[in-house]
Amino acid sequence: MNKFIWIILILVAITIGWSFILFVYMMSWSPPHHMGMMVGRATVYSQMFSWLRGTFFLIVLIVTITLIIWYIHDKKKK
Amino acid sequence: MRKMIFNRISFKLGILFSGIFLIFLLLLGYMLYGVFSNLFIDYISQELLTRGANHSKALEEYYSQATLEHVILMEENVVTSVIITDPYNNILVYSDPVTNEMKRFIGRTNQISNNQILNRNWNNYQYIVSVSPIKDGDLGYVYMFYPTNVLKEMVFVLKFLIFVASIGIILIAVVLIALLSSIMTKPLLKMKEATLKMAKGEYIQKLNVKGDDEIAQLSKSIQTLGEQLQYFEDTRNDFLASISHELRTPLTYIKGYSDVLIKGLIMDRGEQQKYLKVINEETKRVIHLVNDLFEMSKIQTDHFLLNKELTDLTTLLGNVVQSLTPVAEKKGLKIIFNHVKNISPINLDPHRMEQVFYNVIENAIKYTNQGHVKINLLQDETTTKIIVEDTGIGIPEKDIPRIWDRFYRVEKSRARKTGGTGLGLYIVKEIVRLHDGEVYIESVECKGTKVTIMLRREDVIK
Repeated sequence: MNKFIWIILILVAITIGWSFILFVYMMSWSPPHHMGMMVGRATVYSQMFSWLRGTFFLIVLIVTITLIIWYIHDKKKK
Repeated sequence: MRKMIFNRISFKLGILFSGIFLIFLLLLGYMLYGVFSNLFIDYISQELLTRGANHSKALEEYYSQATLEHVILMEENVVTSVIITDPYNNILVYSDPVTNEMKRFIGRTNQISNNQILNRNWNNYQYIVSVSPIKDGDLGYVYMFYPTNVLKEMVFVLKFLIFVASIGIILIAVVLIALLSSIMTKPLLKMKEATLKMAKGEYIQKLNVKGDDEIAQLSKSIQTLGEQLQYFEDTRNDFLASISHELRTPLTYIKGYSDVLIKGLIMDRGEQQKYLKVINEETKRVIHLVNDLFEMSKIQTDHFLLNKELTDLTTLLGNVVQSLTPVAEKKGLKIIFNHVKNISPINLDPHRMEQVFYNVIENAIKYTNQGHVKINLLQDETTTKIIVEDTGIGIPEKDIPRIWDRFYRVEKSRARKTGGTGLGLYIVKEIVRLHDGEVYIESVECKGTKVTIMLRREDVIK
């Protein structure tokens, strides 16, 4: 498999991993609700989805940048 | 291709480390879940007990309808509920509508004299329940209820956050483990490639493995092994070429001279004797060569046995010197044999040791064109030394460490001219070693060589 695909997979995995950890950190140390962590599952789900939306855009950005580098690299190689 | 990935050591290591990591992470997650959920329950239980006890105390001090209403008022619009009963567990007042599950806990136990938790099973019941007797139950009981659905929501959030954090950690850990496994096993793959090439005959391999850990040491060992194999391959080829040459020359002589004699071309008796002498000499040469090879093969297969007996070294060495003196004189060399008096006999194999002395002194004569060959026999309390010095062509310094190796010869062209297979000194070293002795060589090119053989005096050691 092309090494750029591996790079993309690794970057996506690391981004999602850090995003999940930061989400938990945020929920524990600076919760978005005045009740702190004593909120129901609906609030947590809602927070999680909005957080993942941001992560998704970040992943799209990373993948795009990697693909551009891949394209330039491929063109230079040819 | 897929099979190859699964067979890779990096994949196996990655799976192993990830598996171990995952097991411990699950264990940690389960423990954290247990710690926090039980902490919640304990906190809520204590809170219920405290509040129940406070209400009970207030009622104990002033039991009236107004106090009862006041207690109910305190528990309105909060998560918890309160029910106050008379001593016979008839409900007097309550803060929230009484459910059937609440009723199940009222009157379950009779004559409660202390504050206690009636239920802390938050998984199967709708409430965590505590009871506080008013004046030891004489005036009634205060039942406190905490709805477990609130707790379940909190525990769910806890579980969810632990799960999300675990997924995040697993993703990062798996990626890092995969990368590290790949980096760590890269040198092993290089070594595998190198050994495969070595198996195909490309012995010299360059492995650039950094560091000084076990893997770097292994790569260095593989490189050294390759160099050794190349050396043995080269020497084997040289040896075969040399042996072919060494055998062909006398055999050609033998065949040529014997053909002439068979055909009866030489009628003169003296001439015939001369031809037979040549055949005899060449046959001796072949026998010498074959004997050397035989000795080497015995040494290598550990079939080289010594028949030790107490031997007078002066006589043994004197005999060798005497038999080689004509050879030395033929070259115009002076052969000097010095020895101290009263040399004690030594326990050794006389035939093998004679072979050692013969090889060393013959070598000295062979590589000395002018001057002398001096043999000194010395003895002290623990050792006997035999020193053979010559004024010959010497050995280049770079060749000295390898001079004892099998088939090693300083200059191939010189060796062909002087004869020999490169086995003589190897046999010398092995025989001396088997006698528990030592042999070493000092040499200066164009000045001469000094060979020292040291043998232990076993009688002294014993």
